[in-house]
Amino acid sequence: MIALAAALAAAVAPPGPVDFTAQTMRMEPRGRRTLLDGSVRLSRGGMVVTGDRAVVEFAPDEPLPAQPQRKARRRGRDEPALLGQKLERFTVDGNVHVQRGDRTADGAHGVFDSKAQTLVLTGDGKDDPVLRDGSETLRGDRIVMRLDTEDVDVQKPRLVLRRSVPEAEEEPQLPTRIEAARLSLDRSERLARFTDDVVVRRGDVVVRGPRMDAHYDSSGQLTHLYLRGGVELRQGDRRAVAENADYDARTREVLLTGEPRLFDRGDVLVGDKIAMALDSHEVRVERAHGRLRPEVHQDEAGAGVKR
Amino acid sequence: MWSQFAIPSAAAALLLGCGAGTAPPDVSDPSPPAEAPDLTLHQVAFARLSDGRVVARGTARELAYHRTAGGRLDGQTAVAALYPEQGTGYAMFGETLVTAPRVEGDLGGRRGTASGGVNFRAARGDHGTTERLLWDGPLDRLSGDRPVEAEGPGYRVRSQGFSARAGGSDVTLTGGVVGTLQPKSSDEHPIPNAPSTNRKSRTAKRKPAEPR
Repeated sequence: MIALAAALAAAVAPPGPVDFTAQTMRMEPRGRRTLLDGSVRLSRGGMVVTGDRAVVEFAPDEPLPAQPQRKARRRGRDEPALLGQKLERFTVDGNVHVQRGDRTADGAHGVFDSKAQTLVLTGDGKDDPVLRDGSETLRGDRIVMRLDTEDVDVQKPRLVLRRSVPEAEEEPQLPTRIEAARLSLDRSERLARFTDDVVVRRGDVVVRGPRMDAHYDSSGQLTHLYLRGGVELRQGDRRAVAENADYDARTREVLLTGEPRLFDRGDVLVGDKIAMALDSHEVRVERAHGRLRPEVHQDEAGAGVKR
Repeated sequence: MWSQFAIPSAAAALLLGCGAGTAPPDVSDPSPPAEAPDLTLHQVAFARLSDGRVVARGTARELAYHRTAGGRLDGQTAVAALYPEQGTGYAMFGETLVTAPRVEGDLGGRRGTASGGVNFRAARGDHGTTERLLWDGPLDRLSGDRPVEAEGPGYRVRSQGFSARAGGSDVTLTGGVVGTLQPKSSDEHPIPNAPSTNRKSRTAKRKPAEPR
């Protein structure tokens, strides 16, 4: 996924004017706004936004420093504005499409805020906004793209990491799906930070926790997932809990620390560390102790517990 | 854009201030050519008042009045300075100088046309041009069916036509619009070649000759 963020690096929109095209442009001075309609296209730096229509809102005139206060108050929200005022924000509606470097985003509604330096994409209540980079797709209730940096904030993200884990060719491609209340992409740290009700699903593995950091290498490949604050992992009949869980994408192994406990069809294992290989289902426990009921595992093969 | 209002206003000012409703003087030639004007004035200066306030004034190299068909005025090389009222859609432009090589007005129908390349330059720094614009008094509308170009502090627009209320409460560019707007947060990156944002430009300070 950090390819999402990596792609942003070269595509940070520099400050500067917004170029636009439309079929018609209706200016309403008293409303201090301008309506663009029909095949609207807005571009700034490396970012292009298209949509069916847009509303441009102008900033109030700033009082001149040398002006007396009485005159300064005359200029502002109440003064009509045609053109010549600085653009404060524009709102794009209908089939909103954003292109920024290699990344695209789609939504029903987009708001460019020049003061906040953000572009916020939302859906129409039926379809969520979506951010795409190559084969990866990120959906969420609200996607906030920073214009002055490559950072992205997503509310209630629903993320599919298709290239995050290098799969063997003969094995089926298992996408990793992540949900959370919020996601922040920090490209400078090569970090994606998920917070609040994080859920990671990959095949039959489901991991839950309050927060998770995903780290990436320079090529955008996932290297590690770090879950903190109390983690629960389920894989088939197995269930494990711990304070922390570290996932290594290269070895495809989850390391549970912080009073980890493994529950497996009546077995209870406790240790300093519990390592679980997701592909082989093999479990290693350091300094293990617990209660085992071998008779319930007689039907199992190919997986085991090593202590 | 201002010119789209200004020239018809100037035309109207010309029309209203220079002969509308007044009987033309007798002419010595009993059978003038059909297209000959009933009255021709040279080096005309005019002012238009509204509620005791000068809202426009200017000059025309020549102004011809035709009494037929309800009265028609043809002006040549018209220059007008307009002073938009506070609170109107054009107020932010300040004093605006408008020029047009030709101005035609239908006094009875309250319609007018400015053509031959209409230009405007406002005190705020805005300036623009269009080949022709039309004023429809009964509809209180200005319109144009030729390319329009305008630019000013923080913006530049180009379209294939326009339609507007004469008072500026709405202005619509039509036929495909291309432009540039300056975001609020990027003052340090003005539009290249954009005019100065000085409230009074040197050019706009030029005033036409005083009415005589």
